[in-house]
Amino acid sequence: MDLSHPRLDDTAEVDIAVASEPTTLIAVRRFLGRCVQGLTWRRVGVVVVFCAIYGAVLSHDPRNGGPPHSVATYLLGLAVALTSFLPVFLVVAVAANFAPKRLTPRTIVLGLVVVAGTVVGFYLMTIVLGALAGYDVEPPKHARSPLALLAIGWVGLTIMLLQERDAAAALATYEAAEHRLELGRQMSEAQLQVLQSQIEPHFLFNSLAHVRRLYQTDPRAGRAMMRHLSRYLSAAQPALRQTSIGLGHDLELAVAYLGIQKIRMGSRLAFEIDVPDEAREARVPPMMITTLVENSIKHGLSPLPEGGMVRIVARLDASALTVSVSDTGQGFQASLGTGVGLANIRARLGVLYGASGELSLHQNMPRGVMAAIVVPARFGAVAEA
Amino acid sequence: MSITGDLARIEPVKALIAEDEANLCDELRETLAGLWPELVICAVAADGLQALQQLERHAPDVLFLDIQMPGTSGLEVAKHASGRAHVVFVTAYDKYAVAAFEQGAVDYVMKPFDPERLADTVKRLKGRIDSAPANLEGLLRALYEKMGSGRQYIRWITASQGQELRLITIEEVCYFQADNKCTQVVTAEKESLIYRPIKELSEALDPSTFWRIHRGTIVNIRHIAGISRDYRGRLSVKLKQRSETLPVSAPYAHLFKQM
Repeated sequence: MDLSHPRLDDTAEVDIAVASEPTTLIAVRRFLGRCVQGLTWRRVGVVVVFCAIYGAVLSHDPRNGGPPHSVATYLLGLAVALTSFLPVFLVVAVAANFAPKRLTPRTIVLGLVVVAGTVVGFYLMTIVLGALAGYDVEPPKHARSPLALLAIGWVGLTIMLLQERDAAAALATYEAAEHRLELGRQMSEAQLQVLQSQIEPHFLFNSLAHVRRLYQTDPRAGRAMMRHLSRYLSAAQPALRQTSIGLGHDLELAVAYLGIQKIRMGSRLAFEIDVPDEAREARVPPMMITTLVENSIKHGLSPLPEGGMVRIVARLDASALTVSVSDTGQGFQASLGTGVGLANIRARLGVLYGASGELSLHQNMPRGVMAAIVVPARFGAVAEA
Repeated sequence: MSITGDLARIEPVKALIAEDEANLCDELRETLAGLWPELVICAVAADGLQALQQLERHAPDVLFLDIQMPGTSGLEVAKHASGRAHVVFVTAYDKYAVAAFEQGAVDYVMKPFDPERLADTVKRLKGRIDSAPANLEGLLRALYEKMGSGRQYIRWITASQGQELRLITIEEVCYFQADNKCTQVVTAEKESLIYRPIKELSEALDPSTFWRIHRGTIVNIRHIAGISRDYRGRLSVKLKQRSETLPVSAPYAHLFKQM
């Protein structure tokens, strides 16, 4: 489907406007723009200054037995230098915009371009030298051998490529710093979010009401509730300062939360955890499972009078760990969400693992939602952020 | 037989408790039995829908009502009970609710409740049980408004593709494009259709990042690569990761004046 034009009232008008500018003209303008990209006045200036110096050397060739110093001979020298060097520079600068981006093929292509530029420059120079035949200008060394001109072209190219490499390295350093900043930002957002749901007054006071009641009627259940609550309240904080913890450890937190909700919701909540032992050692970013479980209960099961079931399943294969949290709740009622939980999980996975980390949502059968996190399988201690 | 207002009522006072958490429901029931032995608990509802049914069936004089319940919320139940029963809200702390209750002089009890506080409430209820129950419409309207005012911007969107639910975080969206009553959500790789009109979306998007550039187009400014102008002065937006350009219609051109 073509989305480039809106389909509302002024469609026709916009189409006319687009059609009235010839597309070939736009294409030519774009092409020219691309050609001269990177061809700054500063760079042209550097070449001109170089030519000016070289021209001075030419007009002061000691083999001539000292001066004729005159403005005229100097200008002639300059003309020779400009006509031979500028073409090399221009051809390389334009070609650089079309050359492959990777460094090795780029060097080869640009090397060939220098040869082409040298041929052009040498040809122009011979024309100028021919025109200057009657004047007192000693032909420069590179006029006798195009190899000299070629050498100068290659020196210029090497400088350019080195400059490019420095720029790329600087960019990489900058991006790494950005990446670290972004990770820090995502982590503190996750931290804040967990803190918020932990100390959400409604959740906290409600849980306390249960603790009080249970201590009167069923002290054992009361102690269990207290244990879940303090585990949930305390564990999240140190865990969150790490970029990853063991899956088993992270599950404890989710189970503590499920324990609290189980006491509140009674028979309305059932849960099941299917995590093989070998997967418990795998590293995961902290709190993601709890966030998904919270989502399942808050948005999936809580609104349903009959409640439902939450299932946490983990599977480990050679390269990846997949953890899914599914519920039999009411499913996504709205296609728009304001919760930061899901967005934060996706962002954190992106920052930590790039394309190999993933959060996906699926419709659970017969109803509800399944959220799955895939992370690269990693074990042992991982450096902390 | 004629009854004057001074005579004690013959019918016992009936109460309905609506509370989804069984533990807390039992606690309230027991405490009430101690404080007000004559009170008859005619029914207990474990969710909002049951509460509505019991309200019709038993026509209770008093309604103890939790706000967050499955089925339908306590506020919805209160709307039906308004003017028909004396409502006491029973809720864990909620800043909007408490502020509204205080302002609307409505009885409420906070969980975990303080028995003395409940005794006060019972005393007040006894005092006015024979007068007409208050009309709660004003209070409920204020409550709905207050709860709505904490609204936040959209952070993610789900679009279904068969069995798959595609989760799109708001940062990934390049632009939204109106498509009849639906909206195309366009990311770098894909387009998805959601069944919401773009107008509704525009109210829930962060205006500092999402700019309307056309009646049918809202663009994420973080995805804009550049603006170009044709010889008639019409602007169009070029995107970083999409090949198409988006026309900017005249009323929105001022957005790009500084660029």
